[in-house]
Amino acid sequence: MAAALILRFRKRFPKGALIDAELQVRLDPPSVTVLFGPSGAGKTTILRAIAGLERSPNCVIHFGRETWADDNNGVFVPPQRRRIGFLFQDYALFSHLTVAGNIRYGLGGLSANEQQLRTSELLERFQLQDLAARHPHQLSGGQKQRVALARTLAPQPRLLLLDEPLSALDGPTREALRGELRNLLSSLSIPVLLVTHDRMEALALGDEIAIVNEGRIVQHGLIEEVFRRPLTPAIAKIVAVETVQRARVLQADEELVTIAVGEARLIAAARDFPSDAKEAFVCIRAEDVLLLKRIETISASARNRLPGIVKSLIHEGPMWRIELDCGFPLKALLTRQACEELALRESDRVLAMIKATNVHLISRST
Amino acid sequence: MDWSAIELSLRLSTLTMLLLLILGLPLASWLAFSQWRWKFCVEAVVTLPIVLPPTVLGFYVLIAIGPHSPIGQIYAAITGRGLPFSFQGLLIASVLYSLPFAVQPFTAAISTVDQRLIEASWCLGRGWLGTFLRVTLPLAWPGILTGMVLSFAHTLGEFGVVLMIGGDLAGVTRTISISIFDQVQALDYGAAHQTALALLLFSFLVLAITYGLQRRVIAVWPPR
Repeated sequence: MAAALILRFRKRFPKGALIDAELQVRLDPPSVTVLFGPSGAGKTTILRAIAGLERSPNCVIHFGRETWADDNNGVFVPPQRRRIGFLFQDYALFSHLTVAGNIRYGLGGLSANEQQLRTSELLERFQLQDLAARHPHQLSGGQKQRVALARTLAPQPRLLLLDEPLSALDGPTREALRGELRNLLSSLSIPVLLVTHDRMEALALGDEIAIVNEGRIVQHGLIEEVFRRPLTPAIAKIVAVETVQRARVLQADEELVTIAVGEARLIAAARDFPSDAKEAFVCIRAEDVLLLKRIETISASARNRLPGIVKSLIHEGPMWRIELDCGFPLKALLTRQACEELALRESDRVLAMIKATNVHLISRST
Repeated sequence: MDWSAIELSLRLSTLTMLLLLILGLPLASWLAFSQWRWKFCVEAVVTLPIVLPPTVLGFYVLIAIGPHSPIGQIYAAITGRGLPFSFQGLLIASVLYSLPFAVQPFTAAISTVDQRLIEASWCLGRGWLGTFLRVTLPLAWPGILTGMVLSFAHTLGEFGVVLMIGGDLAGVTRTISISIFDQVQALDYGAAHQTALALLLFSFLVLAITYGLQRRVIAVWPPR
């Protein structure tokens, strides 16, 4: 069996919240796994359990061949001996130490000379040389984040745990640092677990995603797959699939399923959809909906061509979010340019095109 | 002025303060972090000396360290002397009497240190003691200093407990406050005034310098 991090954690908190999570993450080759879900779902608690900061009588953690926690056998390795790096949401920098002092803090096992060397190495790598003598309160948010990352990486951890690494930053800084963080994470070759509730962050930083809802891990897989093919309507809501509607199955064979949604008919790729299911939820991502104004420019590859009426246009940064009535409410996402080319206005008649492979069905019998 | 009483009082206060630093910090850390459900009982016991009359505290300490008590007997067997009416006996009573004045500010200061900093230190490989010395102490020092100064000043001014435990033996247990009492009893108001004023000014200076250094008043009884 390939090296893996295996977690089983169950704990009821005094206020009633129950965390009951099972997670298995491949360690080799190292990848970035995102714990994604709404606030209060238990993402941070799961991360803290892996770090050894959260204990429970019902907890088993294996890291490769090591056992970090197994209460049946009375095993509990304290955080100090797990050799992990934990980046706290608000960075938790030591306010009484300088930038260099913060980075050097975790290097207790090295000689003074080696500490000095490793500290300057990290100061340089994170472009903090000029700030080495400053204290945390003299730093900007982005600088604090770099110091916290440098401090976390200094002792060369075997596993990196990041709790909302960008949420303490303001908007523009966050977007700028998202790319930097992605480059850093892929250059590290350490397995990473990252907590976020931001969809853009998850998409930009993660390879795999584990959806956390009400203390459980409800779906775990490749990030594209989970975002496009949620297992339940609740997960579809968490990953913000724009259109989720009830549908009736009209006809199903091994390749294609025909469904009725409102007054419209849709064809979906069958995949794993059970052929005997009668009821379904249909999920369509807004970016998978193509809009056309004239009938003659039909693209041959799209199975579904739905005439509809534009109900509203909402400006969202570089994109326009368009709400349509195609016999059922359908949402589409267009670039500003595409929107201008179509010269879309409210109550315009359009044709919505959706590939059968982009129509995802969730069986309602399960 | 009764210089031997002043010297004795300063020696007693300094030793009490140091003993309370050694005993009080572990106790305060425990009070700050423990989740034990009966912790409030310990908190009540620690705070008792503030509300008890010094005579009550002194009386029980006298019995506890007296020649018939286990403590007194063990002490006598080791040193050949008794604890009551000795400097050592006085020191034990002072430590108990000033306990809340050290432990309360210590606890308040330690519990204001952000728990995440302590956890960050653990994740960076530092153990419990290393974390306490490198993170908790440096961040909690204003409150710890307050506790030290208050326990020092409180011991300097104690009277009732000294009278119960120490009696009034010149150079052994006659502290500055007892000396003032003696001078007043002897109607030597001039000498009493001199000593009293010296004690007043000294106490004021110590507190003023401490609070001035901190530039903010750390409450002895902070709201939790």
